Amino acid sequence: MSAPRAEEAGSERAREVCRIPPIDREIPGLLSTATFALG
Amino acid sequence: MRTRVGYSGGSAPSPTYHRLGDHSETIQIDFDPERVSYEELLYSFWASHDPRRAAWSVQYKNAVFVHDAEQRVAAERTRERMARALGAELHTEVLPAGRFYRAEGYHQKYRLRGSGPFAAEFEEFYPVEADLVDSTSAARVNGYLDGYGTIEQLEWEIDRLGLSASLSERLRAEVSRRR
Repeated sequence: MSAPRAEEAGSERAREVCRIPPIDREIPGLLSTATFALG
Repeated sequence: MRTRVGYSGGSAPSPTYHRLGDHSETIQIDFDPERVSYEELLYSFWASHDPRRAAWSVQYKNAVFVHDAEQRVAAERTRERMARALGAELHTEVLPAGRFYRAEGYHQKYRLRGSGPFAAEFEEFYPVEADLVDSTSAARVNGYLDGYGTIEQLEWEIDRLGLSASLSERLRAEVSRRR
């Protein structure tokens, strides 16, 4: 079997990216971390 | 915002759910301070439990694990305010954050994982488990499925959650029903 052509690989990648929820594609600012224990 | 559950606060190496040692069950939140402040997170924390109640065990204790001096000041300030408002001694502690250990995959996004078609859709988005756990969309949907949030909040963001049309409708119906 021949290797996929570059544009085919590219469009496959584009399809994968499109499946990621838009809210997860937003670029966040500098994130801080908070940690809590809630029994 | 990204969320994950795990174990922290103890000294035992590599804790697991069945071998927790002296650690407590913990939630870790990565947040953008431009969009939500640490004080707002503290408000939710204090509103989510009764700080006058002593913990049943180390596993289930209530605590704020602070990551820096600024967080310590804010946490102590809100703790004092709560103590004054309640007129009682508080058992909830403010402690320095130590190492955080991620809980096993089956504890993460628990309600989402238990909701078959939602779980299947997110597994398609994120074949790698760590990516699913760190997904903001997964955190939001998990919260809605667990009874949090309003239909107004859902309508505001539903297009950004990336759900199929049928699951969007299903989530709408679920959130509307409990009003």
